[in-house]
Amino acid sequence: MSHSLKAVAALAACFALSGIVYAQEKKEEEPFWAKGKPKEGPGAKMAPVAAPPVPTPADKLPKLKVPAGFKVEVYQSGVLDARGMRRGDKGTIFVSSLFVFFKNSATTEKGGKRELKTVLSGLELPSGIEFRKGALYVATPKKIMRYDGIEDKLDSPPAAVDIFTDLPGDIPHGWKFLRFGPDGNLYVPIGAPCNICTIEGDKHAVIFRITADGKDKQIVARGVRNTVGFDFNPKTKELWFTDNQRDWLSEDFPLDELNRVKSPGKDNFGYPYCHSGTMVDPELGWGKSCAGSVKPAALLGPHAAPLGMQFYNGKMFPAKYRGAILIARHGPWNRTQKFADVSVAYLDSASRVTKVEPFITGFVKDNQYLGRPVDLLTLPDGSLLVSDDHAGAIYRVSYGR
Amino acid sequence: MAGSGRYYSGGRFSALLLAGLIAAAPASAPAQSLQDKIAQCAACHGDDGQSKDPKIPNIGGQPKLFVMYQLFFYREGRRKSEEMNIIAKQLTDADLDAIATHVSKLPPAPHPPGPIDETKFKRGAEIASRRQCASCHNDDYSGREQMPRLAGQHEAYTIQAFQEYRAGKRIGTQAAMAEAVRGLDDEAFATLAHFLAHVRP
Repeated sequence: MSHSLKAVAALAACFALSGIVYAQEKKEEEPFWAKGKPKEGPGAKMAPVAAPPVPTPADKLPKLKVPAGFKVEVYQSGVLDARGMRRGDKGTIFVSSLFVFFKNSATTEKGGKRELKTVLSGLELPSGIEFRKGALYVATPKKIMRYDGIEDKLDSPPAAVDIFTDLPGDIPHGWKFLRFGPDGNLYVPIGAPCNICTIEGDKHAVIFRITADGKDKQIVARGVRNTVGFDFNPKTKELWFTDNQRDWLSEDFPLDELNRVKSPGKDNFGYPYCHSGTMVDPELGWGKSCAGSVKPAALLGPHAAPLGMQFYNGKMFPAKYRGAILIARHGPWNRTQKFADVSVAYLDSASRVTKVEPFITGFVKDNQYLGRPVDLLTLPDGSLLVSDDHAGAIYRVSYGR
Repeated sequence: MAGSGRYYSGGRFSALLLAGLIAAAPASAPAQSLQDKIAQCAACHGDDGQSKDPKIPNIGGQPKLFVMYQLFFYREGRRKSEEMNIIAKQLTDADLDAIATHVSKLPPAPHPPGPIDETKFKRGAEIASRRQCASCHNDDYSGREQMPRLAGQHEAYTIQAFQEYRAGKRIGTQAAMAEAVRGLDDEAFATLAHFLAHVRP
């Protein structure tokens, strides 16, 4: 190439480069999270709610309310940023964290005394946990790891075995929730990397499954914006999940979803085009419709942030709770009027939701969060653990006696 | 809160100070009083929370929750700075609360010295508007809750903070900042930092 040609090529490259930069800046001029945000008024200044990075002392924890006959006690205080919970075969309760702690803990009982200890440190957004056959599975936005035989080695945990690393690793909605299905496969979500944006193939906004050793990835559900909780109906083996809908639009819309996967691999739940099963997106929804999306099994409230959910399959609670779904509603940041609770969704014999009502309340006072429920775990005796990442605690709800 | 050690100016002084801190804080040493701990902040950040070194942030008038979080992140090693990681290691949960309360009551940074580049200032205001910085950081960029005061901050420090968010070295309490700086280059960072340093209500 001659000098003059080189110069022309370099000049062209410069223009091309500046063109790219310009296009990128233009394209990105409105950050994803702000799409649909009002320009003025009380809605314009809403921001995610952060709790202090210090757990609430046991005597200052919220006094939660439960229906008559139920009792709530503090199971463990001082659990900073308590998110997911799973129980080991030997009774250890593993607790994960998300944006604050970057560590996973465990509580154990010895001679009637409960002890809380940090087990795994230095993990980024290690919210996804699951336990199976003696091993703790931990998922960050980047990978899924397995810690074999961990219950016997809480003070010196085994080295992590990477079982799956093919994840996009985004920070927005990249954090995980994990659960093994009745088919022995591990179910894993990948949230949308934004508030509202178009999705490329099956890279985001899906739930997929892999074998316990991380192989044979198959898409289970599409059009899922950000699920942070799912469980399998013990009767029908169907997967149900909560899904957090997009931000903004309005104080009362969209409504977050409880979904039922009837046709694994085929069902699409609408994101980013259809919200709450009823409304196409005001920007991306032109020319689209909700017709191809699976309707939600129930709507869980505007910006409610439903997270952990579990079919209640214990024997302690009254009959009407058996087979019902307990759902932690973490509560909205993106709404001026706050609310948070653990709700219960009752199902009929055809697995249709007949009613959703509050079960555990008392998380909000004067429109401020005192606590925010995240994950639910039924213990072998049928009592229920509820984690709270705002106050940094775990509560136990029991019935009778 | 000092910036990352790499950027710390006056390396010799820094090393001496570090040695002093290490010597002053072995596990067996008598516990420091809160006043001692606050004096330690003032050594770099100034008695009034205004630092002389543009790589070390002004902390006066920062929202309490923001300061608590940064001290916590330094204590846990989530934010990296040789100086701050060592200092924060000694802090209890109660210290985080007490120091953050103290810092939040110090006067906010005044208008920084040095001329305003009007073109840069205007362009910075445009970027801030497009990126909706004021949505969380307030119209006067005074900050609130976990979101810091940006007005009057040293430009060099603000640029470094943007770069750390873009590189994923800082995450914060939410994914918001990763999204806020996505796609912005160093020139945009410098422009935005100039605007924020000089902005007035």
